[in-house]
Amino acid sequence: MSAPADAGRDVDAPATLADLARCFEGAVPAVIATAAADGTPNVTYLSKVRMVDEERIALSNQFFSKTARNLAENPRASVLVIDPATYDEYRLTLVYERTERRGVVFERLRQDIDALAALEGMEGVFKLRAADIYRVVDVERTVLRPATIEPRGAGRRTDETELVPRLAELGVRIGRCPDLDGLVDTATRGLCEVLGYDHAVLLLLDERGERLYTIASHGYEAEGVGSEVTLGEGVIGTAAARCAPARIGNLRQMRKYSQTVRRSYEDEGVGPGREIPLPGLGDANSLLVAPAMALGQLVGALLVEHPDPVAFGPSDEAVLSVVATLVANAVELDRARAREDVTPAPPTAGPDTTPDGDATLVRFFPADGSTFVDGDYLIKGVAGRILWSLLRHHADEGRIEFTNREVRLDPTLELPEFRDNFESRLILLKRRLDERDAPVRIEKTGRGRFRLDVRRPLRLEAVAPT
Amino acid sequence: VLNPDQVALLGRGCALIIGVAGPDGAPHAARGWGTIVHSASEGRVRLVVDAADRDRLAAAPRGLVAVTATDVRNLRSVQLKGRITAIGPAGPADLERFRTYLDEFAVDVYESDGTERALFERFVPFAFAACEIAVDEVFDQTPGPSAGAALRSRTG
Repeated sequence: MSAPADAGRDVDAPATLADLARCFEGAVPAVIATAAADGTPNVTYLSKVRMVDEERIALSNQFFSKTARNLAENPRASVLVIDPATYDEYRLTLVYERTERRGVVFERLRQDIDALAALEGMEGVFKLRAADIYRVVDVERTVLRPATIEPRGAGRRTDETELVPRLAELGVRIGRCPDLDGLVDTATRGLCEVLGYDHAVLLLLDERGERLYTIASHGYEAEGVGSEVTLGEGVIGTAAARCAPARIGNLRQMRKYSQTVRRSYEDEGVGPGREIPLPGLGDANSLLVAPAMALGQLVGALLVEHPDPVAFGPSDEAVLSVVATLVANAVELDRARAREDVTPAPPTAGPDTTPDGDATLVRFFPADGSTFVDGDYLIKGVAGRILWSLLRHHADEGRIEFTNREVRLDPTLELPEFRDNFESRLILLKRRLDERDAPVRIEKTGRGRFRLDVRRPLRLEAVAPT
Repeated sequence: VLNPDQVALLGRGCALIIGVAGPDGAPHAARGWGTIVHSASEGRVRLVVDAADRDRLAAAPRGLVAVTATDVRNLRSVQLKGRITAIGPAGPADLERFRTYLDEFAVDVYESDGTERALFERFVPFAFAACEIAVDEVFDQTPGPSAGAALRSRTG
């Protein structure tokens, strides 16, 4: 039998706000009671409660207008909060101090609400109106029943004292990566092996700065390379667009709340936009997104997920932000190196080693670069155009050896002149071909060089727009 | 005062939260542990509460009380506002209602959120009281822009 969850903790000691930090993660809805001047009470749930300092908390205000009216008459409140790991419940006695509509506290709450809204595509509709700041004058633990089961999330957490050394180890591993392919693999695998994040996705920003695409993942049945998220949409897209981390626990409950609000808006005739499915774990109950930034620019985003509803805390947010920054700077360094690469490489035709057999049909749609192999979707966009360009060269000239430098100059790729992301797209293509067990592969043969490995005869067909 | 949907909501394992004010106007939030609707048309409801909240509820000016009931499966919620007309120790029927309420609540919470019963039983009270409430008004409290809209009142 496991040890009681309260072991080592003085449950009779008066609780301070700092002791209640987990209660403010938003994983279990808080309750607020207010009263009008005539004593008429009002009681409802709160979306978010945040700790401001040792004496104050901030409550999100989206639409609890009766609560706001009561506070104008009687600036006091009683709030029930629950620790999502232990389900200890506390009653806070509050005195209203002020309302903020900008500033650090408001922005933090706004990020929370935006993440909640993004679960159901309600960005821009379900918005924080204000952050109400209260002074906490009393904290009371409501019921003192002993714990009979382990706290939730207890098994996942890394010892805080080990975080920095582990982070340093992952940093070293990332620093030793010689190229982008190794970097994205090391980063996602290292998050699992070194830091214990079993499910991780690395996304990079596309050339137009409009979408994030998955370049690597770890811990999923399908790697999902090439899957996309629109910047500003969904939890990942919103966190990336804001260049601020997003952390959501008890995702099932939060999603239910978000769905209810969405239905309520729809009943009012407001269209909250299309639903954005979250990539990754089907049973994820916690997620954490950190934007990957370098030199003040968004480069991508890192996502970790976990089935436990209380999997991630502030230290996880800090750790993932550091890793995301390391990755972003390494990606940018690789890109800068690629831009300066002057490797002269007049490519030569290699021996045609394509085996005999039935030809595989590769269909290419120039309109958007969509490419299908024997009817199965493979890739689209820049990566699709790169593949088509390589296959044409192979078919017309028998070439299998290429350099990044010459391929990126191909005008049919429609690469932007600045920030063409060619290397990232090439890695994306390589990983996608591997993931799909495609009859053609890409092998790196040196810095800025690669080989096309055609494993079956191919029949190429470009589908002209009608 | 209460329509059939609201009676059905109150009759199952819905989440129940309570608000009252003290004689000094200070609000007090608490949880409810089961309801029995005595009369939907007259808006008479019996509410099982934590015995530790009994004095607070008894001291509410003019007995004014607010109770929000939420179906934890979809968060559809109503807020009842009315007056506490009587309060006393929980009787056998109240305790039986608490037990069935807790069973229903546990199933709904586990099926919708995956939260184990043993976790939220940490804040189940040790002892119970029960109060009679005369419901005067009913409000939609479902999260969203319509939260707080009046649904029914004793006069209209």
